[in-house]
Amino acid sequence: MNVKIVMALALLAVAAALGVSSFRKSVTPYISFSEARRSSGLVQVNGVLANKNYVLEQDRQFLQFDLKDARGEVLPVQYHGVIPGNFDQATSIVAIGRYHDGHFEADQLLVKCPSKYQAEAEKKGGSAT
Amino acid sequence: MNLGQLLTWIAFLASLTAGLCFLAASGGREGAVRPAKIAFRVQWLALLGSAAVLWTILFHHQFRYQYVASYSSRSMPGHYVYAAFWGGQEGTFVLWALITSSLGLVLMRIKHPLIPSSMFFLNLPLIMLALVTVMRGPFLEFPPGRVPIDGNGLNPLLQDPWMTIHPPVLFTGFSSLVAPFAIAMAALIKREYDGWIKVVLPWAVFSTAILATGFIMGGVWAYKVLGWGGYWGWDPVENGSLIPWLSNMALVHGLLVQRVTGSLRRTNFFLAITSYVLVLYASFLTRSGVLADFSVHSFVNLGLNGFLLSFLFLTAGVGYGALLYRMRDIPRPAEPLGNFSRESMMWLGQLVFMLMCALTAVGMSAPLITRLFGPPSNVQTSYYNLVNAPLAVAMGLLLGLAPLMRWRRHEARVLLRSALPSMAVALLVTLGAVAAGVREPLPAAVVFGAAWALATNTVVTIRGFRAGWKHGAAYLGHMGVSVLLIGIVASSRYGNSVQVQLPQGQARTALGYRLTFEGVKKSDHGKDRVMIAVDAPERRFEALPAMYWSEFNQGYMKKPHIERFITHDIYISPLEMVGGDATEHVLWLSKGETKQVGEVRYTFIDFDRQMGDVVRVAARLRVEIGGRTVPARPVLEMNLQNGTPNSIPDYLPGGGSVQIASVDPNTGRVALEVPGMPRAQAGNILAVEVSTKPLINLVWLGAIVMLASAFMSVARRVLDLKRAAPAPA
Repeated sequence: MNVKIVMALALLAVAAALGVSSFRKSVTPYISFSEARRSSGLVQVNGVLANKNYVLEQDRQFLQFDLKDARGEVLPVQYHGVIPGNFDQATSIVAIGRYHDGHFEADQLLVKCPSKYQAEAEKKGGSAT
Repeated sequence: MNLGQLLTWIAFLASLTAGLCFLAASGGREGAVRPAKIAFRVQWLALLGSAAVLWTILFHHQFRYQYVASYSSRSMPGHYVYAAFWGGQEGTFVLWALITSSLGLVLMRIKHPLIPSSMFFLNLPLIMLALVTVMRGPFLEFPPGRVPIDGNGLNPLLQDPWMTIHPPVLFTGFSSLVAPFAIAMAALIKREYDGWIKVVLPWAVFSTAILATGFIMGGVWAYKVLGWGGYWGWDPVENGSLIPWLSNMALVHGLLVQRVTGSLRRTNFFLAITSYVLVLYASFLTRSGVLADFSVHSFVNLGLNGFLLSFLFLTAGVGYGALLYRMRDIPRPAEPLGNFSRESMMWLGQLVFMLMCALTAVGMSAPLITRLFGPPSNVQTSYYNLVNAPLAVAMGLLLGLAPLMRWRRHEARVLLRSALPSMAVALLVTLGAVAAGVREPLPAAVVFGAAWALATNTVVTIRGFRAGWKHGAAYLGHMGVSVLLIGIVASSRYGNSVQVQLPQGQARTALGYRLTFEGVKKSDHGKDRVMIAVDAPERRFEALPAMYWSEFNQGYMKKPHIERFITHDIYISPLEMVGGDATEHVLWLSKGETKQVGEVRYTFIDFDRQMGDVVRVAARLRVEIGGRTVPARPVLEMNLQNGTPNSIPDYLPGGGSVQIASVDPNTGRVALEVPGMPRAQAGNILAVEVSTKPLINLVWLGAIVMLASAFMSVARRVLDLKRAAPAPA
């Protein structure tokens, strides 16, 4: 055994252990609402705004709305923070956070809006043969 | 067929001809060299021609071309029309092909026995790219009669001066990795296991330099324009250019070891092939649309997945296949890699580069990896910091030690004596950092490693430059990296950040700065800025971050304000504006819809219309207020003779009133002004993020030093090659 091999093995072991543990820790799976209700960790859910009965209090930086997924299931979401503009025109909403006390507490909201750029490109991609 | 399509066909046929002729030339047929070179030049001219055609149709706004209509518009300023060339995927394929063939022209001029075979391999991706542009080029036209009058324009996010230069530079770096791959393949075929080093070194160093230029431009762009809050966001496109760069850095260091000691032959072939495979893998990930849900700037799926994927597998198969085939033929070094010597430390350095590369690649592939076990998901960007930080410590320690060591073997005791001064400096710097607030072990370790590397390399750089610039250039790069690492730790870990709401005209305090939002400064191009007076202990200044509504993106476009100081930056990033937009201070309701404002719930039942000289539209509402449900019926009158609207409010229990702001006849929606909604005149609220970026200037300084070193090294290796093979044809 010589010095460089020992150091290389140590490096490899540290990197592998670190890689696996960090990966598991920081991967936030997209999961269904029923799974989100059961899970305890940080997860991602996505869906659309179920109805327009949302509560938006700009001065308190508070937002409460119902998120509906592709299967029609509805999940109440609460969010504290800077509220994304044109939130009610979103075509899809991704919420990252955790479920507790009967609602999903979002740390982060990603709002996708109808984008002319994408829509045109897709349309073109489809028709251009 | 139009001129553009004709040229892409010519390029495709010429690339096939050039490929066949270079294959023949590589097999020893001297006569094939001339036609091969001619075909290659024809191909280059055809690609240059199609680029010229693309720019011409863009500048002449010929919207019958779908590409022109998709990515440009009449109102766009000239330099963005120029950048629209690479606004879409089809254009980037043309750019990629043009750059690759231009590099081929340079490679073709070098006089070396390996060149014909290298040119054959360099030509392979060109065939692929030419085929793509033939199949799905930027020259498709709309059918007659369906030609739009104006185009969509380029995404405003991309409408930035950096967009005119950043993509071509990054693409040059990306494409240039084809050269090390091609030369390595030629060397494997021709069994020239050592002779390829001199030819490949300038190319490998060139790729390093150009790719690094690309990142740094991207970093400046992200920091100053996109307002990511940092210079690096671990976005798939950034990672996609980082992983081949890391692999290429490992190759450069390996080639230096092989040149001196004759070891690491197999490793270097592996790295040269891997760098290009990673280029293709990264372009597959970002172009195929598999990351579309996860990245801000991946492209739309063009239906080329199968094609891109097969090219990736083909290249990997041919590359690694050839290496495996020659594995036993490649001679072992006369003496094994030293145990504790400069080359063994460089070998460890390669390992560090490749581990960074592998772990970053795993992170960016997370959606693909997790798809195997369940729903696809991404990693948080914290993953990349977590895995790369310890490797950065290892890199710092190696950089502090290796340059002091001699080739082949080193006495530990002698080394210890020569390393002591720089270690002492590093300890002092680290103690200083701890005193300044660096209390966590990992960042402190990175600082120690980087400071040691900086001290050691400062000494060897000075020593090197005394012996001639060629001997100091590489160590100068190490200095740059060390400074960069310290800058990264300070600016990303030890800045403060706070989000604050600024009602117009009222001062608020954040991080010890007093901020007053004074209003919106209109600009001619619609790119409005918000004015914030900032009273900081350092100085008073007026912050003018951009914040304006973009119809194209249906969202606010934002650009931060950066106030620069020698030791830190104050970074003011606009987040949201409330009440600034006409649609935001009213309540939009569709028929049957209910919304709540404060404690009051409004339900819109239907319109009552009355036609005549004066059109009257009444909105029947149900209002739930304080446990009671009452009807409300505000009216909007429109006098058709003089066109003046008149809104008649209805009153609510408790003294408030509700009135119609506007009516959307297309969607049957009504906009109401109700109590509790912020009014436009009542003043807007601006939400901003205020942060400090300590020692950010070290990041830029380190990056510039690194670049200077990289380009000096390119010059050095080119000179070495010229001396070896004088007078290129």
